[in-house]
Parts: sequence; structure tokens; C-alpha cells
Amino acid sequence: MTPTRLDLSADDSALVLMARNGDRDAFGELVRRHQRRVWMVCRQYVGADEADAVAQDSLVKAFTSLDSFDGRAAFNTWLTRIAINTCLDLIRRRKREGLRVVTPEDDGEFEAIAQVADDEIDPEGRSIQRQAVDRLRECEANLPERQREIFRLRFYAEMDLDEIAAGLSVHVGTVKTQLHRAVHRLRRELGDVR
Amino acid sequence: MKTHLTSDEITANAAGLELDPVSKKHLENCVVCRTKVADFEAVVEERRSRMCNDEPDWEAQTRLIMDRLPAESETLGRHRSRWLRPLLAVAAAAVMAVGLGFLQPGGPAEPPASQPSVEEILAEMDELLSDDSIPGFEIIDPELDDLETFFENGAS
Repeated sequence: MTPTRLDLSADDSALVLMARNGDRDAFGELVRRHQRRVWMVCRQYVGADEADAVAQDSLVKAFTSLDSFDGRAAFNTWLTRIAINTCLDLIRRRKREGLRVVTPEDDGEFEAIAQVADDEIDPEGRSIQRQAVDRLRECEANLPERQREIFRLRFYAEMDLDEIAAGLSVHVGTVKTQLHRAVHRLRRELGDVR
Repeated sequence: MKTHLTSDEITANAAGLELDPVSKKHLENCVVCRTKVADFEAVVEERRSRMCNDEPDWEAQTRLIMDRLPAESETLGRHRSRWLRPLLAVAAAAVMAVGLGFLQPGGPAEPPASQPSVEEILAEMDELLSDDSIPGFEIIDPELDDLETFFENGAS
């Protein structure tokens, strides 16, 4: 029997159906399409070192749970929810075991390495920008947990408001309110720098 | 004509929330307000792009994920157990229901129509007992027949 070539233009629902029927290439295509978003979501909860492994865990979990995907939400939204839950599970487990979780705030050193090259281009401009980014990171860390979570999912994982609401199982109005408060506070804090 | 946007409106716009049409129109034409929004967006974008510096090699990441997927046989086993469990539960429930029927005080209410009634069984037994030709019921000693007369008429 000649193997059939995977139709790369197939939409997510069609690929999910094929993957459920044992087509691993179809799931591979879903991984290629969505893994960056999954990684960016995980990156908002854990540090860079952990994000790769947690994103992998999330996608493997999605594969083994494909039967429970009922198509009511978009595949992307369903996947994001799995990624968020996987991150929260890891954080809870680490806390229970008395271990420290590397958070996105702990990544300052990694970012500093990247900044060395940038500074050579426009030292003064980059220095001001770096101060602002450092300040933003500090202010983010001081936000209430839910505000920080929503802010990061919106701006860094580039999720829209409905996706965040579905991912966190909250009303979209809650997302708007928390986001507004977070941005208001961050703008006020950053005003001191810029 | 609208004056500059309030701090709340700048915040709302920076947060990606909807503005009313008048404020929206003002923002399109006002460099001062647009700069306030853009300043915030620039810092956030800078932080986001620095996070992206840590992105893994996506092809390698895909391979790692695909290597970790459970084998098809494991998946099939999982699917099978998914419908096997409810099936076993139904079977167990049916067995229990039948068992409980026999444990009821009156037993099963009606005998099946194919089984003979009690009267039929008794009649058949009478017939069998009255048939002397059946082995085990033949007359052992013909003289014993006289015993009946003997007891009726008294010993002579």
C-alpha cells in the first residue's frame, strides 16, 4: 500500500481527526503549527531552562488526551489550557517538594548576555531601553499574581482576550479588568524611568 | 473637538482594549497620545523579543516530542480499556440483577411456561408407582398377596 502524503493545508480539526486515527504525521503537523505558542505560554510561568521540557510535556499530554478534545473550543485554545495546567502542576509539585521554581523573573542574567551585543550598536539608546525593560520586569514581579499572569499571556504569549479567558476559565470581563489594572500600574511605575 | 486622551484611555488602548469611536479618532490624529501608547508598547515589545532569544531549535524540539509519543499499541490498549470498562460494568450489573431476583422472598414469580405444573408432576409419580412392571416395583413373593386376605379375615 502506498503511504498517503499529509495534506499540509488541512485545518486543525481535520488533523486532529487523522491523529486520533493513528496518523502520527498529522499530529507532527499540529506540533509544528502550535509548539511556539505553547512554548511562549510555558515561558510565562517558568524560566527559559524549564520551558522547553514543560512545552514538550504539554504536547505529549495533548496527544494522549486527543479523544477528550470535543471541538467546542479551537484546538489552539484547548492546547493552551493544557500548557497552563501543566505549568501550574509543575509549580505546585515543586512547592510541595520544597524545591525552588525558576520563574521568568530569574532570567535577568540570560537577557543581560544578549544585551552586550545590542549595546555596541547604540550605547545610550540601548542603555535607556535596558533600564526600562529591567524596571518593567521588576514591576511585573510586584503585580498581583492574576494580573501578572494575564498581562504576560496577553503581551508575551500574544493571546487574545477570549483565548486568555478560556485558558484560565474566567470571564472575559475579568480578563479586561485585570489587564487594565496591570497596564495602569506598570505605566505609572515606568513613568519614573521614561 | 476632543482634548488629549485621559490616562485611563491611554492605558486601555495600551492594554489592547476597545476605545469609544471619538477617542479612537483622536488617537489616530494625535502624535502626543500616540507617543504615550507607543512608549509603553516599545518597552513591552523589547522584553518580549528578549524572551524569544531563548527559543529552542524548533525542528529538534519537534523530534523530541514525536519520540516521546506513546506507541500506537499503547494508544490502542488505552482506547480498548475505555469501552471495555463500561461493558464489564453493564455485565456485572446484569449478573447482580439476576441474582437479586432469586434472592427475593417469593422467588421468581411465575415458572416458565415450558415447565410442567405441580399437579402434572404428582400425577406422573402416581402413575409410575402404580405400574408394577417397572423394575424395582415387581412382586417379590406371590404369596405375599395372600397376606392382605389373611389380615382381612384373621389368621386361621
